[in-house]
Amino acid sequence: MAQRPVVEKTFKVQAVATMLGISADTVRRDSDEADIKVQRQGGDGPKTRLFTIENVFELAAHRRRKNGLTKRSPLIITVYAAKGGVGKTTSAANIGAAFALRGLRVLLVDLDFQANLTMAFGYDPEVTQEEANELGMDPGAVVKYHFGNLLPQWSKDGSVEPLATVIKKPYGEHGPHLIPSELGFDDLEAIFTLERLMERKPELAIATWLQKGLSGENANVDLSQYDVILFDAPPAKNQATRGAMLGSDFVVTPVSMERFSTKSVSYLAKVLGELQRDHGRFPRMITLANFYDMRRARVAAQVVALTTKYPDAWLEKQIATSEEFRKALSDDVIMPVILSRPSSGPAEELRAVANALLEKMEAA
Amino acid sequence: MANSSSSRSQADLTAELQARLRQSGNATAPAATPIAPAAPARPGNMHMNDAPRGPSRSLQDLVGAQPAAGEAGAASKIMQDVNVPVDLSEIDDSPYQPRTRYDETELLLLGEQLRMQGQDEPVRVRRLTNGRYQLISGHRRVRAARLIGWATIVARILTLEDREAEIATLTSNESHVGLSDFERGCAYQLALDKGFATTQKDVARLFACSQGRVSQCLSVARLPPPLVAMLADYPSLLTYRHAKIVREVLDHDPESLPAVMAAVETMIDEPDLEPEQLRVRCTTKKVGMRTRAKVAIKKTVPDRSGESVFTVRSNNRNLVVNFNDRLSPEQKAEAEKQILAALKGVVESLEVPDNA
Repeated sequence: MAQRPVVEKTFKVQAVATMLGISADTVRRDSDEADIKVQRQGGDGPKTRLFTIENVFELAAHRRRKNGLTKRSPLIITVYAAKGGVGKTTSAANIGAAFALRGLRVLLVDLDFQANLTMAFGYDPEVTQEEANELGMDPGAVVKYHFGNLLPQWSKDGSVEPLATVIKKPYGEHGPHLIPSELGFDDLEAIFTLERLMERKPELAIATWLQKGLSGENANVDLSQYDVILFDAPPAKNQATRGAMLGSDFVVTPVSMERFSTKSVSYLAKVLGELQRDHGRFPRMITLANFYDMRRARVAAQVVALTTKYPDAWLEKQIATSEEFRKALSDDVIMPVILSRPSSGPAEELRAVANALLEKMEAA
Repeated sequence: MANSSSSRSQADLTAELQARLRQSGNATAPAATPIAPAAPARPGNMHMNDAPRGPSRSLQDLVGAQPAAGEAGAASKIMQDVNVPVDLSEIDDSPYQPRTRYDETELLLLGEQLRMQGQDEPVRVRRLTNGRYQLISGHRRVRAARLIGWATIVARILTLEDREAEIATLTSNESHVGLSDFERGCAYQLALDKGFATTQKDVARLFACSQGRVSQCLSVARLPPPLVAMLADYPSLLTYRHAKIVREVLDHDPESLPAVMAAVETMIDEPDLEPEQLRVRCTTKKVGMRTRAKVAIKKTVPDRSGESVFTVRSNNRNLVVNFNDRLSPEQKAEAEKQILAALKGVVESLEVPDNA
């Protein structure tokens, strides 16, 4: 089943090489070796290879097999910032895509009813089935379900949707998988509130879902196939957010280097302290500096404050201010900038961030 | 399909939730936890919470260890004891704490020590069902931390039942720093009354002191009720040696209780009275009309609710005293008067170079 909006954008060999961090020759050799069906440019000129985004991830998967990457238990990550507008969803989408480009099997979970992560992969959660039919869209491009539908708490009788109907694969089987969101997801908070009143510990709902999906107890959801499970949490300090953090090994918090940004990290530290106190489990905090310009005194002051107070959390790679993000948003095809503009400055930074992140998490 | 998502309207959802709530018989709402007041922002030095450290449980431990539905409360049993910063506003005193008075000067010194050296040892607390924390040990440090304006204190959170908490609080070493014989005696008596110990020997073992000491302190706590009532207000009034004299006098002549009371009362103004002098006073008939020069200024601040009556903060040239809102206007006026008088005394004693 095609579970994606139609992406017509294609990539030349050099762009694919940049994305994957390998040489153009290696791209050619490996794609031949893997027998990936790549189109050739039409017309009279040279028959240049034109990779679709699916091809790119097929190649990444092939390289993973070839390099003998062994499967371990997945890294579970929540991307969260108490403050909005700090590049949280942009970071989540790009980091998720960057991990998948490294050949990792990635599951992204959109926990924000505003569904920005879902939209970052080209879905419009407001498009109805009828509209999709009229426009001749792939039925898989319609967002009907969200993460709530996978939790037994969601429905009265405890029934859940099969993972296959909920999950989206915007770039095919080998690209990042996405559990999308839409406006109705917000009802989960009300349900969690009720569960709390009934003393049913809704804060454990996501941890339980993860554990059962990993251990094979939940036949509906096999999470053990993934290398990375990444939740994009809304800026609210709500129950779904706490639940995701409780289930996670790491919480990556993008910090915009502005005044009060240190405060949002302090709020997060407090929430993590509460998790430790109440449950004995908490994710390790990783601060990711955004809009980073060390030449500005105020930025330097924030960096000093954060690295002094939370030295272990600081990620050595940062993302500078860039217009490219905005440009990427106005592109015809919506996809994370790391894919749409692989040779741009931000894409390069994001790849470095994703690599540093992986290194830091694996070292922990 | 059983679980259509986008088609469920808010009204449908509410109706369904209400139905669920009716079905569950146990829809008891836990008491709301009051929101802690934010720590005041200090310019240039914003308060930053500590990130947790130490081990974190695995998902499997977290989920696997959960009790079955309906076993609410049992979860706390399996929780690890951890050190975490806790809001001072969420900490209550232990009702089992033997100390009734806190010396403000000592608290200020302790606060100064906390400020300079940081907190060496976590205080110990347990979580109550209402979400607040109850102190096991660290009553003085908590007060000192409030005095110096801290918002949080590092606490070790223990999972203790009422009885365990009571024993732990009673026998905590720190609970006994500077306690009077009477306060110790009351703690020992309580341990006996509650059945934590059955003999004085048991008490001695429980509190890690000698049996002789137990006997001495109990003798103070077991004085006749009118004297115990007086000691409740002035716990340091009588040592066990004074109590021995009082007992001897009363054994000799039980009718002399009013005279003994009057004699003991004179010690409020003369705390250093020797036991033998007390015997003389108890047996002298003319103690009736004593004159007390002035009301003794209490050095301690009574605060049964567990909060300091005022907090003091000094910052470069400014000294700010904040009174607790629960003080009546009269109490505030009196406290203000006394503080200003004390300040005047300090100012007069200072030698300031004349630069006029």
